[in-house]
Amino acid sequence: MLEQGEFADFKESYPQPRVTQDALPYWEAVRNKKLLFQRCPACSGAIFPPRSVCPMCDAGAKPGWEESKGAGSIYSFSVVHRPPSAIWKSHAPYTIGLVRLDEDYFLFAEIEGKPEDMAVGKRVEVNFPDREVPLPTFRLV
Amino acid sequence: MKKPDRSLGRVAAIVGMGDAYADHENVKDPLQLATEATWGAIRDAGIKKDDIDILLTGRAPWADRRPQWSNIFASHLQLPVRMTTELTFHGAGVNAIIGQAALAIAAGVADYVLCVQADAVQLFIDATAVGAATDACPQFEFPYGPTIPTIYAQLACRYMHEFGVTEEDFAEVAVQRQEWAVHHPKAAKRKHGLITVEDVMKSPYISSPLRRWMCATWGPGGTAGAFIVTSVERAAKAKNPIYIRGFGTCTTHEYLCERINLRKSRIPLGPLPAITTTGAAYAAKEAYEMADLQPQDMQIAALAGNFSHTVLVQLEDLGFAPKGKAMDLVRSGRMRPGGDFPVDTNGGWMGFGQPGISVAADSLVETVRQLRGNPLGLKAGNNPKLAMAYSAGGMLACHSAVILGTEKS
Ligand SMILES: [Zn+2]
Repeated sequence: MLEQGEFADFKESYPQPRVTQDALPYWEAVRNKKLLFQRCPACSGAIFPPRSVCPMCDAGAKPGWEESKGAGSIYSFSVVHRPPSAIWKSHAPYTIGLVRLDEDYFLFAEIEGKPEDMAVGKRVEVNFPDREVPLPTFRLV
Repeated sequence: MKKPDRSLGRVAAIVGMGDAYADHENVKDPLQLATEATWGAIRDAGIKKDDIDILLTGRAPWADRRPQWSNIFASHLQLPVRMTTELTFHGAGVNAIIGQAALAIAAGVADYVLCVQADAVQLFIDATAVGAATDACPQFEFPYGPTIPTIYAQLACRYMHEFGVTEEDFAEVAVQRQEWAVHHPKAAKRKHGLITVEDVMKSPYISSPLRRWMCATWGPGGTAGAFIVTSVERAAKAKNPIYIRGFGTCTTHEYLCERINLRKSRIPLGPLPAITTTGAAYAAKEAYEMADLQPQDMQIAALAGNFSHTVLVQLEDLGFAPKGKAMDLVRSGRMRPGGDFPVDTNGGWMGFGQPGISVAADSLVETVRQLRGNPLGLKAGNNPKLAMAYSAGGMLACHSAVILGTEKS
């Protein structure tokens, strides 16, 4: 039986991404403040999240890595007023949205800026703020 | 995709139903709740425990997440059976076990199948923290600090943007759910009484544009629903059978970051990339085709609306309103108490509340009770004979639609 507080580990520190083998190059690049994504050599489709085989065509091709320019626009967003656990409280309110990158793939990420400035379609650029857990974020241009 | 045999809509029926409830004054864990509901269903069906050949559940309750929970429960009942298994695709699985039971009956591998689900989130765990940890992608979403409402709000944002729907519209959806919930003795939000659009708009944002009243709550404390499924031949001798006329399921993704990056799908989701059409449309179409019925033939419906906007999207995808136009149906008043198309008559996921994964069983319980004319809350005014019971789970990822009726065909 799970008891109250069993998930206390989420409250004590910011959660680390559960890194998959497919995504190791992505996270290595994030540490160097670069944003990578994959592209299929057969169908040329931009692929995200990372895969070992392109899921978008039947070629069975191994995707290659490319650097994103980190520019895109807000597809959707939500301002978090009631965060998931205690550690996020001082950070709230913060905005999390879907960003459509110009290379035509989407990231789910924090969008830095005033909540009242957020709108669908607004241009954003990638940012790599110095935080305990390195993550790419976006900020309004 | 291969079409299911239409005759599957004429092979099985629910002949026993049991429900159980817990709260802070009357604490029960999922094993206790499932046991109580199961014995209620066995008695209602007029069978013996050992008549059960197969036991099906949805995924393990949040309040007791031991793997192989369905087998743990069979063992708890001292019920050796041919098979136990869990349909793990979120809240859809709890609904889809009814169809899987019908398949087992049609295949002749079972005379009686027990379908059961229990949970008691509020009594045992911190649902806000656990929720996002379960439903957000642990690699590309969860590290940013979303809650479940944050993930669902991405759809709310797009739905407003694409169809011109407003926060006040979302508020009206909440008001109508509460109109049913105040009459249900077990509904989590019953105690708040009737509300107005202004009340909803004054409630604080949880994750914009979703305000507190636009979200389901964690409650009631605990629930369970159990269903005994058998053949239509055996059902002919049962005292109050409810026939399984059609069922359909599908799943399109797990995490939102996967769904938004989906560019082609054999399950029709409209032009991609987009998130405002879900697999509910396909699941429902399969169920309607199996039943040889149309959306307009449904006389009552139970949705899986955990937020105002998911109520709207589901009304559209289940065929009750054109895409982007569900608010017209809301405003018509047809779904309110006294209306000719009652929807979410226990208050739905928003008004009755989400006791956990068993919320989908609660909707099935409500549907069976309304068809039998013995609801715990307000009775549908139109004596419904055909019902759509729909459930969903994940970020609108997994879908199951079941059509139930008081007549065999
Ligand atoms: Zn490809």
